[in-house]
Order: sequence, then C-alpha cells, then structure tokens
Amino acid sequence: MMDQLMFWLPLVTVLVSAVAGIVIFVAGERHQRLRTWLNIAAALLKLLLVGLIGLLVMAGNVPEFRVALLPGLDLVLRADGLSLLFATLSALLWLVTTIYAIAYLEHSPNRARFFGFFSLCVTSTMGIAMAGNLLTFFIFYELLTLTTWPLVVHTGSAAAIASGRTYLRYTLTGSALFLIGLIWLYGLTGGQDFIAGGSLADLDLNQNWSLKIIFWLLVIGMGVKAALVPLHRWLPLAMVAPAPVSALLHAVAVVKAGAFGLVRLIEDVFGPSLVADLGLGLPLAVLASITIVYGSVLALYQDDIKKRLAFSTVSQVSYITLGVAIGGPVATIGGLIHLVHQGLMKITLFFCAGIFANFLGVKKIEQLDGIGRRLPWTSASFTVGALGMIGLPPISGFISKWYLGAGAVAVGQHWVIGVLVASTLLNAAYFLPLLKRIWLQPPPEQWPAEHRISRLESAAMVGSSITTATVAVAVGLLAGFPLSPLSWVTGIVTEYFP
Amino acid sequence: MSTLIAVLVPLALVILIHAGPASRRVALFLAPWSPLLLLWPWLTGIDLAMDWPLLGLRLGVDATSAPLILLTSIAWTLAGWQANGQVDKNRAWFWSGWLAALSGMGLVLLAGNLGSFYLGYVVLSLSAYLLVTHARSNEAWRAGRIYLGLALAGEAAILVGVLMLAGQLGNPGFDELLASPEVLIDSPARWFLMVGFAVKLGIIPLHIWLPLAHPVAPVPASAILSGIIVKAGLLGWLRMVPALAADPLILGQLFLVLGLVTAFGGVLLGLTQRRIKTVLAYSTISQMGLVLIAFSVLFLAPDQRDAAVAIIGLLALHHGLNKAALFLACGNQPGQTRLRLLLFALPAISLAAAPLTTGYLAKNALKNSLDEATPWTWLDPVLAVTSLATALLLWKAFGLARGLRSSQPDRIHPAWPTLVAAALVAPWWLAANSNLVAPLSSYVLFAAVWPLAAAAAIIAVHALLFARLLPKLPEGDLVVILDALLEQRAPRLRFDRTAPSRRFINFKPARWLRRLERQQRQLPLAGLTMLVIGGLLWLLLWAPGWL
Repeated sequence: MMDQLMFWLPLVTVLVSAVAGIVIFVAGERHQRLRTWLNIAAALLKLLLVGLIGLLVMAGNVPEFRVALLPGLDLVLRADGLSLLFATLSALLWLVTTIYAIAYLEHSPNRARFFGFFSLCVTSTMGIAMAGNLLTFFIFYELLTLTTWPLVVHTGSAAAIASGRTYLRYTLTGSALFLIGLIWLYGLTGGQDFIAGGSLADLDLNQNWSLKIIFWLLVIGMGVKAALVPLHRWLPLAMVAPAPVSALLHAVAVVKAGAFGLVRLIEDVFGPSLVADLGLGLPLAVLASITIVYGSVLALYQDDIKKRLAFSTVSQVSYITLGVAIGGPVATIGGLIHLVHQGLMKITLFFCAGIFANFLGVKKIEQLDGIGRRLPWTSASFTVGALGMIGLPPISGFISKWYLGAGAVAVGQHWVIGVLVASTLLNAAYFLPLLKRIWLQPPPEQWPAEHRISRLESAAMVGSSITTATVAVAVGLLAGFPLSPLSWVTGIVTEYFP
Repeated sequence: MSTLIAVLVPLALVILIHAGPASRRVALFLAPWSPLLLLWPWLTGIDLAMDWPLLGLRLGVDATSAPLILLTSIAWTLAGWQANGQVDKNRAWFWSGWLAALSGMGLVLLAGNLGSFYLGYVVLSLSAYLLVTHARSNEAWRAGRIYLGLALAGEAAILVGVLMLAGQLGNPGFDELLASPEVLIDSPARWFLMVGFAVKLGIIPLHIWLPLAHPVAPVPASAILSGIIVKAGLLGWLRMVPALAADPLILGQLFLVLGLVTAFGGVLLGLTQRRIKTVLAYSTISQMGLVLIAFSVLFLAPDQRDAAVAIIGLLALHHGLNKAALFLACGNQPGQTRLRLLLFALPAISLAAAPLTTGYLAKNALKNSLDEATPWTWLDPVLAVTSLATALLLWKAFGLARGLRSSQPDRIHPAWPTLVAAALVAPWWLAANSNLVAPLSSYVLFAAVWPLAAAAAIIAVHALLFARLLPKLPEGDLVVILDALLEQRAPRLRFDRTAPSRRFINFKPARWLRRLERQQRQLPLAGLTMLVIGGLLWLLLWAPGWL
C-alpha cells in the first residue's frame, strides 16, 4: 500500500491539473461556474498533494514514479528537497493566481481556452519540479513552452501575436540546443538520474572538452527561459499577456523553470565540484552579473509599469544563477532561496500592476500619481514588493542578498558584492520614484479609464496581492523559523556540500 | 521584551494612524510620548536574543549606547511634544515619518548584532525622507532628493561592509566583532562602513545634505535630525569600526586631521549663511568634526577604548540636547522677549564650551585624552580655537534669532524650556557617573575663557570694520558642483518629472544600450549576438588556466 502510494503520488500530483484542464476544454465557454470551481478545487487538491509529499519527504521517504519510455530511457518523477521547494512555491502561487485570474478575466472572452492552457501550464511546471532526470525535465520543459504560448497571445492583438512569435523563436532555438546537449550527454553517460552532488562527478569520464561544450549548450537551453542576457529579449515583449499570465511567467512558470533548470544542471547533473574543476562557474557568474546590471539599467528607461517590472525580472532572476554559479554553501543558499523570494515579490508586483490597469486604467508610470490614496491596500502591497526587490530588510529580498554577498566573500569572490550593490542602487533608482508618485504626489482629477468592479472581484484581486505581499514579508521576517524557506533551503544545500 | 516593545510600539502607531479616524486620534495622542519607552530597557537592562526573526535579532543596552538612549528618549520626546502643538498640516505624513524613524532609531540604539543594526539603520534613513519632504515645496523636494541620493550612497557603502563581515563572521554580535581582530585587520570592510556612516554624520565633504535638509524640515524634525539622527552614524562607527591594536598610528592621525577640517570647515561655511536653521546645521557639521576628533583617540590609543567611548558618549549627549534645544527655539520666536533670548543663549554658550557648562566639561575631557594619546602640543590651542570658531558661528545664529519675532507671538511651547533645562543638567549627571568631572583650576579656567574672549573681540572688530566682507555661499556649498555635474552629464534620476529628461535619454552609453536592445528585436541580429556570445564562451574553454 505504502509502496503504491510512493509510486503513484508524484504522477497524480503532476496530472491533477492536466485532468482539470481537459475537463475545462471539453466543458467549453458557457459553464462558467463549473470552470471556476474546478480551477479552485484542482489548485487546492494539488496543494494538498504537495503537502502530503512534503510530509513523506520529511519523514525520510523518496516518492518516485518511474516508467521506461524506451529501454534505458526512463521517465522519472521524484520528490526530493529541491523539487519540493519548487513544487510548493508553484502550488501555492498557483492557487493565489487562479483566484486572481478568475476575477481579472471576469468579463473577457475565451476564458475556457485561457484556463485550459493555464492548467496545462501548471502540469508542466509541476513536471519540471518533479523531474528526476534530464530527459523528463526536457519533456516537461518543452510542454511548458508550448502551453504558455496561447496564454501570451491570449488577447489576440497584433502586438500579442508578434510577441508570441518572438517568444517561440527564442525558446525553440534554445530547446534545439538543449536537445543537442542532452543527446550528447546521454551518449556519453547513459541516462543518469539527478543526484545531489552531481551524477557526472563519479563517472570519471576524462572527457573534459565534451563536458564543457555540453554544459554551455545546456546553459543556453535553460538560459533562454531564464532570460540571461543576450537571450532575454522575448521576456519584456511577452508582457503583452494579461496580468495574471505575466505574474506567473515571471514568478513561477517560464522564467523560474529556466533558473530551476540551471540549478539542477549545476547541482544535480554536473555537481558543484565538477563545475569548479572544469572552471565553468566563473564565466556563468560573470554572465549572470552582466544580466543583473544590464536588466536593471534597461528597466530605468521603461515608462510602462509592466515593462519596467519585466526588465526587473531579467535582472532579479539572475540572482539565482549567480548564487549557484559562485558555488560554496552560503552563496548556493542565497541563489536557491531567491527562487522563492523573487517569486513572491514579483508576483505581488504584477498583481498590483494588473489591479492598477484593470481598476483605473493606469499603465504608465506617470499615471501613478496619488494612487496610494485611491487604492491603499494594493499600493501597500506594491510598496512591499518594490522595497523587497531593492533588498531592504525585513522583506525577504534582503535575506537573498545577504546570503549571496556573504557567500561570495566566503569563497573569495569579492567582486560579486560590487554587482549586488550596483543592483541595489539601480533597483532603488527605478522603484523609489514609483513609490514617491504613489504615496507623495497628489492624485489627478480623473483617472485614465475607471472601470466598475464588483466587490467580490476586487476583493479577490486585492486579497491575492495582499496575501503574496504578506508572505513575502513573513518569509523574510521569520527566516529563522524551522519551517521557513530559508531553513528548508539550508537543509537542501547541506546535501550538496556535506 | 522591553527592548522589543520600544521598537515595535512606534510602528504599531504608524499603522493606527492609517487605520481610521478614531484610531488616528488615539495614535496621535500617544505618538509624542513613545520615545519614553526607550528608558524602560535602559533602566531594566535585560538583553534579548531571538533566532527566528530575520537572521537572528539581538537587543540590549550597553555603555556605548546608554548616553545615546538617554539623549533620544529626552530630546525626541520633547521635540515630539512641540511637534504635537505646532505641526498642523499633512499630519499623517509627518507622524508616519516621525514614528517610523523613531522605530528605526530605537533598533539602531538597542541592536546587538550586525543584522539588527542594519535593519534599524535602513528604516531610519528611509523614513527621515518623509520628514525632509514634509513641506512639499520645490525646495523640500530638492533637499529630499539630495538627502536620499547621499543616504543611498552611504547605504551602499555600508552594505558592502556589512556583506564582507557577514561573509567571514556570519551575523556577528558586536562583542564578537571586537573579539576577531584577525578578520577585521585584513578586510577593507571597516573603511567602507566608516565612509558609509560618515554620510549620516555630515563629515566634510559628505555633509551637503545637512544644510539643505535641516532648514526645510519642520522645526521639531530639524531638531531630531540634527540632534539625534546624525548620531546613528556615530553609533555605527563605535559598533562596527573598532580600532585594533595592529592599526597603524597614521590612521588615527588621519581621522584627527579630517575631524579638524570638518570642525573648522563647518564654521567657515556656516558664517556665510543667512538663515538660522542653515547656520545651525553647519554648526552641527562642525560639532561632528569634534566627534570625529574624539573618535580618532580610539585609534591613537586603542587600549583606552572604554575611556574614549565614555567621552564620545558625553560629547554626543551634550551636543544632541543643546542642538535640539536651539532648533526648537526656532519655532518659538526667540527674538520676542529677553527671556526667550536667554533661553536661546544658554545652549549656545554651552556649545561654545564656556566654563561651567557641559560643553566645557566635554571639551576638557577630550583635551585631556588627546594630551595622553598624542605627543602633539599644538593640539591644545587648536582645540581651543574650535571653541572660538563655534562661538563666532553661534553669535551669528544669535543675531539671526533676534530677528525671529512677530506681531502676534505664540506662547512659548513648554517643551523648549524643558529641553534647555535638561541640556544643562543631564550631561553633568552622565559625566559624574562616568568619572569625567575634572576639578576646576585657574589654568583650566583660563584655557576655557580665552577663546570666548577672543571671539568677543573678533565680533566687535568685525562689526566695526569688515561687516560686509563675508561672501555669501549657497546652502549646501559643494552641492552646487554636484548640481552642475548632474546637469551636464549623468542620468538625472529626478523623481518629480513626468517624462525622463532629454539629457537622460541622450546620455551616450544609454543611447547605445537602447539601440543594442532595439536591434535585438530583429532575429538575425539576435542570432548573431548569440553566436558571438557562444564564440566567446568557446574561447573561454581554451583558456582554463586563468579561470
């Protein structure tokens, strides 16, 4: 019985939302109530299942689903500490985003299509989180690419279609390189599962050149989604999508999947020691640093709120890459923890941007004047997200920065502090003016396009943003608690660096 | 627990202010008195250590922070009392900044480890912006902009130092920091921290925000900015820039000279000013020069740390109370009656170190410790000349104060005379407690009197002969250079613009960056960039030796 549970649980967790998605497609546009309840029920069920897996993992079990696609090529879904971190984050944020999206899209067309793909998108993200080897990862990674495209182009405008095309070009090119790297690697090693500390390190391959090339092929494959400069261009364009999609894209789904992949690549495929031996960490850290500064500088020039947030994501997600690329336990904690922290803060910011646009038609930065008096709760959440992005205590972004900086010093890479400080100042330069407008400027006579929003809808949307903002503060403020993400990540990292 | 309450109550009041009209009334009623809560941990003195908030919180009171805690609880409360009567527009804005700054200051004072201190310092720096910009005039926005720019630059330097320490020590308590000289001596962390905190103290040339921010803030806010908040930087120095036995002597000498430059520079620049609050702000800069001189004693004689810290504490308490009293006077038409002029003159005389005042006490203690720490005999007269200079500057302030009167004078707010009285008494009490009271001899008396006599002579001669010779410098002196530089080249991160400035857009590297970004929309170029980057990475593969 227990064995059966251990075997099927990962698969069920991944497939819950796929089933929901298919039912939504079949039910069609008219069954709104069914769709709403199905969405929320699936999200709740998924959260429950992830919680159950979490309990099992904490008790020392490793739930694993394994089936051979071809002899020697296994599809593996497994829950270890890292997958649980990502799975919990996605399950939680998915629930909140579902509620937000239902309210956000209340009066717009094509909702069945939207929520169907939305659910499929969760399935792929959950699959990425649970993937137990590189092949499984690749399959779900591709699935994610394809299922997010309809979401990006949801509005169907010319701009949306164009952005969608760019998105596909970038991601599919990345995938092609990923595939080459994957096949090459499998040719060298056979199908290896993800193992803490790396599966390649023990093989003693003596194939350093091939390994280096494979590494960079895979980095490009992941880097497209993780928006590493110069592969980031699709991300700011993709912000034409509706706000909930942007929120997800930037916080848990696509961008995070890329960053998560890089973490897997370094920690579980190559392993920190092999990466260090081959001298791969430093170039990747430099690339991440360039991305961090470049993204922040570009963000300064955007006068569209969502665009500024998008460039901010380019910059912030690279903190994760930077952390794992520097190596050493402390910096790795900093990188992994930012997986969670960036997600919470950025989803809050996009929720708020969506509320500004949906309630009052405010899309440009100069229209934000005095909005704090009109929408105080939303503005407060936005403030929390923005201050957290700058990295001010006690919000969670500070914890990430502390560990990244301290970790870099601990392994002797002092230059990283310069990058972090530059990023802090740039973040302050592009977020503080917004806060000043929101709180300190007088409001205009008339808002650009005021919409009537029902109480329930506004409660759902504003409530979502308050929830994520609160959690973003809580995980920072309570970082020392045994169940906090920080403690969890510390536990994971002790496996990588015994 | 008392420590935590002292930090959290002001924050709770901020929330109450915004919660609704009824709770706002309650919160505003309680707000002025919340600094008194700081006395509680000071009296009971129980330390608190918790692992779960942030990276570990440690709170407590020790000999280093005690004088500043006393200063904060007295001066902040009395300034708040006056603010309660006198600040009547944008009250929510003002009191939010006021209480948040108090919470940050409380945390700075009580913090026992690196992380806690940094948290408090950030909260303090950011919320002071609300106080500076409270007037919402163009002048206030400009002062706020420059304040925030400098504060963030200081913050950045502090962050560098904090992260460097964190990389080697985790989140150390300040006692651990003192106990690990082998880490500190090799690391540049201390010097980043030193510069970062110097911004708050207004050490020349990082002082330009003070003369801009203090005059535009409401009177009680200037009082705490100038009297108390600048001392947060001092506490940062005392906590995180410890002097080590292995430090070369030249460091201490450097700080000493820098302190003298600031002490005299502040006076010279202040003499050219025409507004009383600006003059007082420059006087603060000059006095912080004295504090830096006292700080240099730590480096000149590292084994005498406790004695030097006690002197610095006395200096800080003395200056904080007297300067806050002078600022509070600006809101009470000090030129109206003789009594008010006297109330203005008392703290001014004390700052000029007249005999029997606490200023004399502090300066004498400083002089004695310098005598022991350095062989330089010329220091004594130079130190006396700083008193002379301060006397000149405060005479200028006194002259300006005489003009502050109106046809319908308000009644004196009781907070002001109370603070003057506290400024006369409290430092004496502290000095007696830390054995800094020296017996009065005729020689010492002479040493204290001649600078003042000289100042009087100069004032008389100046009034007769050169009344119009002084140049008039703009407030914030060096800021003019900064302004000019910003106008010319760098991107202007102006907060109150509707569109990014033309110059910003035409800034060359920026233009270049944006073109690059635009061109990447075209797929061939993006592909090309990818290839180039790939090629570079490929090249990196061939050079593993230097990676």
